[in-house]
Amino acid sequence: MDQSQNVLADMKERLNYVLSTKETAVQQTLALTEESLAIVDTLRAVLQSVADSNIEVFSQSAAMLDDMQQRLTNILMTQGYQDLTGQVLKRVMEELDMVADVSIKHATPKTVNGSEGFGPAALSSEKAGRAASQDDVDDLLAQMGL
Amino acid sequence: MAINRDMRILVVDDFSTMRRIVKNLLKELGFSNFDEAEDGVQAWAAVEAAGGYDFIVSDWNMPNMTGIDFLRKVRADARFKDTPFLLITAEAKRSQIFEAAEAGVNGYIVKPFTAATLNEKIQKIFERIGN
Repeated sequence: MDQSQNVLADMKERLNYVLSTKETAVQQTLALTEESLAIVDTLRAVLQSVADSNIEVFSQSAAMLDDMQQRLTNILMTQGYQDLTGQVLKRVMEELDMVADVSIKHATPKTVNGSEGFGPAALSSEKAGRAASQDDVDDLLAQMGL
Repeated sequence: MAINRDMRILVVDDFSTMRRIVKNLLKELGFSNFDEAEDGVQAWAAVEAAGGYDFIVSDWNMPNMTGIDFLRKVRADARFKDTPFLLITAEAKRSQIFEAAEAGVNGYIVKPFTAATLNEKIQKIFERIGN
């Protein structure tokens, strides 16, 4: 019994390590991306000031800066995986607590109700009854007059 | 109609990554006046302390008080009940989307989402309420 308790505690600690290492990396990526976006802004202002002297170079460079900004924004958005995977990791850690309660303390497991939130659909069985896309959500809301 | 870019916005999510992403996107859309909260309890305290916000963007699944309970609390209070409220969440069960609509949400975005979606939903919310 003690041993399985230790294994469960180790598993939680490892998952916590994954979560916090990811968090550090993501925060660093976000900081670097924010700095890069600020550089794009500055470059755009510099470019504007010389726009009159060479309109062709200006418009080409401005288009490239727009492109770069869009890519940087996409990098920012991609970091949202930290939230989604973090929710799943936290859920797994709660489930480990539940397993410990049931198997070691013989307590009754608590069930998750929808008001608390289910988290992302990580299991294929969780996809049923869920909106598959933003379009799906929009359709549902439209049915309710939203 | 132009949206007031100076409006005060409350961004609520238990993951600081997501708060940072949402704030950056809002900045790109021209907004600059934000407060943050980590859960519904903190968010409610912020709403009371600030005397309300012009716009609330909240997650659903958070400890202490969820986004849906926070929404209900806002709607139940005469001072704040008309605050535009956008949920950005990984919760996507049809029953939850209906629940949020019944609770009076103004917009619902499922994660992962795009900058274009956020922009579109904000436009729609403020067009509808005739800002």
